[in-house]
Amino acid sequence: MVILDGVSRIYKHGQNIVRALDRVSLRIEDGEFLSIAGPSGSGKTTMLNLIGCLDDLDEGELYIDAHPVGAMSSKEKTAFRRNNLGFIFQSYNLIPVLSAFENVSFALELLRIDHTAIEEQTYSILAEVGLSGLEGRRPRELSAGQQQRVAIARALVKEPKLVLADEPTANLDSKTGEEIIALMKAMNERRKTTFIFSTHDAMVMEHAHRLVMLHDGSVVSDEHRRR
Amino acid sequence: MVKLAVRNITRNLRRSLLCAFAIAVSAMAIVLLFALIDGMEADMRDNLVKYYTGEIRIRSSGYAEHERYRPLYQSLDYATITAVLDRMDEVAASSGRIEFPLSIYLGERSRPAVGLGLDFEREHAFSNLGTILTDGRLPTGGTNELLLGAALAKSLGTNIGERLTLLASTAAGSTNAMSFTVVGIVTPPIGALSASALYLDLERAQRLLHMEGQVQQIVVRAVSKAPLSPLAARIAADIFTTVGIEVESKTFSQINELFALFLTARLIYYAIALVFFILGSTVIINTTMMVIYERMAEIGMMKAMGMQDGEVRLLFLLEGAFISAVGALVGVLVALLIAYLLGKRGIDFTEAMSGVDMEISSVLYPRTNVRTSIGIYVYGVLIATLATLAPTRRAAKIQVVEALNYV
Amino acid sequence: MSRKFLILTLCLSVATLLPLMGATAQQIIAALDANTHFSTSHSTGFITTVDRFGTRTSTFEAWAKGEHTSLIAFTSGLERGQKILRTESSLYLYYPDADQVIRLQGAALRQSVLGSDLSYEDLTKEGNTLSSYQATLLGEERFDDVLCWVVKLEAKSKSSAYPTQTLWIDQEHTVVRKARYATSSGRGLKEMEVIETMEVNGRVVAKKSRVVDLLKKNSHTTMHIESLEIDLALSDAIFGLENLSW
Repeated sequence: MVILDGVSRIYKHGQNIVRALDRVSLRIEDGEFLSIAGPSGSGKTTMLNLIGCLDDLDEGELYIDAHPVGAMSSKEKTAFRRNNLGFIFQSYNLIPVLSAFENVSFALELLRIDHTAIEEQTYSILAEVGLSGLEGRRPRELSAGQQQRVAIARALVKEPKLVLADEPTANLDSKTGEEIIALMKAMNERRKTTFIFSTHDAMVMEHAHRLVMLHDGSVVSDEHRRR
Repeated sequence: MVKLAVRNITRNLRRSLLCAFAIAVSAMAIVLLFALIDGMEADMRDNLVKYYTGEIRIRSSGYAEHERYRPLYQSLDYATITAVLDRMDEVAASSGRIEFPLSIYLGERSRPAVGLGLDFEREHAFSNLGTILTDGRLPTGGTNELLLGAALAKSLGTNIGERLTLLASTAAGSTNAMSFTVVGIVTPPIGALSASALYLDLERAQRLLHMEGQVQQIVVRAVSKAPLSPLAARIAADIFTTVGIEVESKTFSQINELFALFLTARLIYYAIALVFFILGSTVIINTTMMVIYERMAEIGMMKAMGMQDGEVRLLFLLEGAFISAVGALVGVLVALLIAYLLGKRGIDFTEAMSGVDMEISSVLYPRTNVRTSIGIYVYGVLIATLATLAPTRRAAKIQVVEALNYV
Repeated sequence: MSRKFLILTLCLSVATLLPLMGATAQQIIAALDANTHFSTSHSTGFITTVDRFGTRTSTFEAWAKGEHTSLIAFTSGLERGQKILRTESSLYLYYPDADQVIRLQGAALRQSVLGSDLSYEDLTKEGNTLSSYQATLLGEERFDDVLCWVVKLEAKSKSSAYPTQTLWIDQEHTVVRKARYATSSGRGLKEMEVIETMEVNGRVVAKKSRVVDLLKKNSHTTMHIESLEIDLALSDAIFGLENLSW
């Protein structure tokens, strides 16, 4: 469960003060499949960065599973991310010199778990995202959709409670984008992992169970859909 | 992480090779420098002990005071001092010598040279002229026979069997001349000796110089490899207590300032090595810097995934370390190969050394030793790795949010 | 043998013919040269050197003919058998152990003989004094109770052994009693004093003289003439190079 209570993120550009996120309060339950939408500069990415413990909030309180993120040191945040959060990026951000398998297992290696367990989990998650047989390929030998699947597998392999995805389909054609969203949704349903993703693609929003609309740093609508 | 570091090195293989090459060149230069210096030092030590001063040189205590006049009257009674030395267990060998300036007369021509009266039997432990005899034979005791340095023989145009007349100042300051038959040509490794020295039997030198039974110096070799200066002091004390003669007894490194300089100069060479490696490391520093900017987004991703700052630094440090480890290894190995080949063939400094009055052979043999090479290797890798430490700080300080947005 | 130590110190009895008053330096030196020239001479004697090595004595036998030719043979000590031959143009050294005669030239002529205070040049130099030196009469002075002219000689060429010489010349016997050799700046090089004279065929010559090389420390050399015959018949063969090795 993620709780945002009057959270603000303020950027100062010389004299200008920009409230990228302005006293936002939101409660996200476990297992949600939530889309944050809004035009460019509305605060989507800022919100994801805050929830992802990548950025510091300036006002309000943020709790992830009752952990007060605002009180964490940067080292604690890093450890928290390593253990609890998964990330999917718009441009996949795979390590080009590692194979699909190695890119995924890298997340587990950071957790310093047993080698055979790493292998087992990595093979299994790659099979789950539909990449069986492609484990040995380097990112450049994979299609864009396949690369994003690897990224999804990397985010999910350590079985995090929460996966954050910033515009996961922005670099994909609509058909592939839909497939990726479908995959994320399937994983959400199967594993009960909470997904929070940002998008400005209306078609992608359609798939969300809950749609939070942002405008100028404020929540303008919060709509629950059918489950 | 190690795997990732190694893979990262292959990302831009050419650039990594360039870094490794820079380190390799530094390591190679330093190994060769040290090999040359070690070779020179060993060579000089060998030459000094064999041809100049022995390990320890004994002279009359008054000699040094008037050294530039070559005061042959400041001599030692050979039999007396030798008797004392032969009784000392620590002394492996000793031999009396007289070194004196002379003029060679060959018909109307004359030229200056240096005469060395040697006790050929005892010289086996020192100059052992038989080993550098390139033509003819050694003089027979009690005859007017001599050996000529090869370069001197060449410049005189003298061959074996010819007679030379030597004119020298005697111990008492008068002059005397004697004629000798050239029976052999020797090629000492030192150019200056080859160009100016002639060797004759000690007894003949004594007769020529009117110093019967006397020698100018006695050279000594020690039994053990222990430091020589205590033995030198003990020799002087022993001679004084047993026969009441005050002598000057000095080790070769005390006598030869250049050699003493060699030993202290080692520190300077380490400093030179440091500079070389830092220069070599600039390439790696620069590359690491570039790499960090290139992989900014990747660093952001890794940090987002929970990689700690220290781990990020370690990743880049490992890359630097591997590159320098490989580079230094190649450099050291190549240098060892070169040094080995040069060590077999020798580097001929005859041209450069002609006219240089140094106790270093004209042909030098670089010397390598495992310990020095390993030392240089470790030193090089360490410095290059430490050099990469600076730019990795930059990597660790990167803010994730900024890095992710960095394109 | 040399002018300075043999012939030069021989003095003609006709010295008294020289006008006592009003003699010029040139006249005095010309008279000195004239009085010291023999057609031939044969002498024996010994040289004693006292220095840091102790006292060494070498006996010698010497022959001279004309202005330029002389031969000295050492007859005792470590130098026994060594010979010095002076001809008009050269100086040759003969050593018994050397099968080649050594010809000395240039600076080598100033080397010490037997480690004494005498150089080869001192022992053998010949020639006309006035041809190589400019003479100036400095005055009169008593030396050893003998009235002497004091004449200063300055070398005309740089090749001369001594840039300046100051001679104390006995007015009665026209023989040098004392000499001082110096550089042109006046720095002393050598000093010579005649300790004892003798008369030969009516000429007064130095019998015993003492030379000090001022550049050597604690060293002096005394030269004794034991016998001197002059104007005797000498074969030219004595002065032949091929004759050195007898």
